[in-house]
Amino acid sequence: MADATSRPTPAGGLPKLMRSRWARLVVVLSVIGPGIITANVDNDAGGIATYSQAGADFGYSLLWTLIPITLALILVQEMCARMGVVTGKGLADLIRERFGVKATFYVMLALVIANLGNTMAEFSGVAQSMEIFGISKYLSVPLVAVIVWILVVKGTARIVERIFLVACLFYVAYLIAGFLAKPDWAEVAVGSLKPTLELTAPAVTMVVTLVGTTIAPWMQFYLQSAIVEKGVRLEDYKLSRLDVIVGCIVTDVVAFFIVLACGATIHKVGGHINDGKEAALALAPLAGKFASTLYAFGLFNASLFAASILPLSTTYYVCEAFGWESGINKRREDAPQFYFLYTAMIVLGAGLVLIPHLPLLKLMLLSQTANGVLLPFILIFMLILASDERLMGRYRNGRILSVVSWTVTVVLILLTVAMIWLTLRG
Amino acid sequence: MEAPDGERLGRLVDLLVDGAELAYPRVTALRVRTAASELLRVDWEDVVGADPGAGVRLRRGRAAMVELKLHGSEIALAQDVLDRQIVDTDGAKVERVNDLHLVRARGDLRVAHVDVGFRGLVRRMGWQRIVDQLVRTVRPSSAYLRDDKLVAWKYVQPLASGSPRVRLEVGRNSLASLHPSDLADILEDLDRRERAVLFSGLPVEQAADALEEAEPELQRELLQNLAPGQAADLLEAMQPDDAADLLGDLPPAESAEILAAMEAPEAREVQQLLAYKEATAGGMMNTEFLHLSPSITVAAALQTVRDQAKTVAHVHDIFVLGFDQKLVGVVSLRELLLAAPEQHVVALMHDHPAPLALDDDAKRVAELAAKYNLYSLPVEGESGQLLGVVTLDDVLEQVLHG
Repeated sequence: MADATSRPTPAGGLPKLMRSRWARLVVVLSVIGPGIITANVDNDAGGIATYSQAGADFGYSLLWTLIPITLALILVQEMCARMGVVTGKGLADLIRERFGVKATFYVMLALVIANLGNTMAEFSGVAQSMEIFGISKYLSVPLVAVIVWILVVKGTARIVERIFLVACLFYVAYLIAGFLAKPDWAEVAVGSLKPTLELTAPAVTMVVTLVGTTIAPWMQFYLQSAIVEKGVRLEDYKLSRLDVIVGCIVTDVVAFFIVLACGATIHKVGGHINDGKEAALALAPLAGKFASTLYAFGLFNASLFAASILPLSTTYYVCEAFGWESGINKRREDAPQFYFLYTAMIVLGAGLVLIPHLPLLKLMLLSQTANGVLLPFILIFMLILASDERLMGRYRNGRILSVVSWTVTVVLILLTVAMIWLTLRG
Repeated sequence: MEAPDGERLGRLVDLLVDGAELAYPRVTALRVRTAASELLRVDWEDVVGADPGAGVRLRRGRAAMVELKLHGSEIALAQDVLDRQIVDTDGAKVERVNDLHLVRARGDLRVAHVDVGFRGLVRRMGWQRIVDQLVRTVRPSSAYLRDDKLVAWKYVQPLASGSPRVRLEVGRNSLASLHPSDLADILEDLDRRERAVLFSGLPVEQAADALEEAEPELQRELLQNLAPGQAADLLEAMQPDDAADLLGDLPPAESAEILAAMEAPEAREVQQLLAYKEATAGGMMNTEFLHLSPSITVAAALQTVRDQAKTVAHVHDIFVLGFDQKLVGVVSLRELLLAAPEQHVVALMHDHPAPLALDDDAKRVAELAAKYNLYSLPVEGESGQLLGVVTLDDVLEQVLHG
């Protein structure tokens, strides 16, 4: 029960027009959100590292890949959102019910490992950003791990989520820096529109990594659960789809400008990024000597935001798949697996980052490459589910959508194969 | 799947049982996938040998395989139960089915339990022997080896929202034994679609009771999934004060729609209650209560109570009303039961120690209830007429969650 304010009298009350407008606004607010939040989680520590390195190493030449990646992202997320709205179930739930215990076990195992890598990337982001301020990772990482654990278990994560979202305005800095760096726009246009790809191991690996960081498998689970939790109804699905599409575009506009800013600055001086200080140079056209501070602040925010969502969401869907009680509102003795797994994700994710002399930046990129390798396999499960008539009824994937999405899946698998082959050949 | 001559006919994919059978339902048929990937049905009567490890032998060979159709209330175990969520109506919990426990009895195969435990998961992975051996070596006293988490089939309520066939068989409604609060918790734990299926399958009275116990957010969702007519039926079955609380939380347009669909007398009661502020005596009170006239005998009074109790939840106190519905006294059910039948109510009744006014706030109501050890407190209008009664459960709800 809300508060002690008087109830609106149902009979009289607001004039009809206002009432319907008010009702529409309520609907919009209750549907919008998951897409935008997911979009911002997408640009996490791994994302910033990947986009920065792509710009630093390859200049504008890989910008074009962001266009097909955006389309694929929309394709995948729309499917997740649709499945969430139609079935009212999370993706892990659907995989368990459709494919049984064995397939579910291996999918979850792969995801837990990949997400442990992603969690490590987030804590690497924390370490790297704090090192710019001269704070040792042996202090910052354990401290942040404890803070994240408490924030989430005490259930204050929702409020914190809002603060993070506002702080995500930091990405605007890359947009401005991109313009202020005065890039050669003709060159940028060529890089964005003319698909060229050297068939070398570093280039193909970078493309797989870009795909993996933008279309991270764990985020698809997160998005679908968020939509289910919002309780979006079929009538309002169109709004939800809009939310998702806008979110995807926002994600990739930010990605585009990170690549662009790094391409216009770091790449121009022939640089490869080795640590956070070098990555921060991309913001120099905007912030001058404060570039490092700005970068550190942004990276820290992005890392903390994702670190508070990723281990929790992983834990949720593993518990969901195996039918274990889950939820931060449950008591610890009622949901032992939930608390164990959640704590283990944080302790391991943060603990491994503390290994001395760990190449943090390489680790961040590697976790995103792993995402890219895992993605097509998760996609196969998703596509079978989204085309299942018994499950989706008339909302299942149509023929054109099926052809397109299977093509995307095959292309992704081929990319991975090419990457492995090129790497092994040396 | 073999013919009598050993020819391979197909692969067993599912077992069908009669969902309406309460305890240990018999497997009525098998679902078979042929080499041509066609799904067919084989009735149990055509199965001669079905030993684990060996194949399933069919009496009439290929002729036994017929078009796949489900008869009556048949459900498919692998499709509708295995790996899905069920309600364990004994433990009042939502569980996921990891494995099924079948028994053989006089030529029949019957479902005995569903396994919702960790060992069931391990068994499905095909690792039971290794893991069991490992646990036995490391810690022989482990609960893992002793306590298989099995739920007897009679306590299993399948949900299987994926297939519209599996409606709740109200005949086997083991949900009926659940306490409304437990039922509300179960609804909370389910996925949205299963929740809607379960809720719409409940009899109106039970649905209304569960709705009263649910959290406001869940109440809203459940009501919004119903047509206004159905929602109105539910609200009529609820206590008017709870119904008013619920309507007060809905967007104005929706609550107006539901009110319009309600029967006039109930709608009027609820509407009156809606006008009062939530955390006051007026907002907490119920307009249905037991009432008597002072001049009747105890025998007549007991009969009146018996008649009125059908629509009133709390029968501890009975209010004595004079002319114009004015509250003249109160008598407890205990006093009525102990009194001689020919005595008059007026001789038994006494003044209520703490009658309330409409705008008394929740804290004051709670204080009065505690001070005088009261189960119910009458709310009086300006001229002393009895408007409604606040009961202890409403006070607790308001103080704890208000």
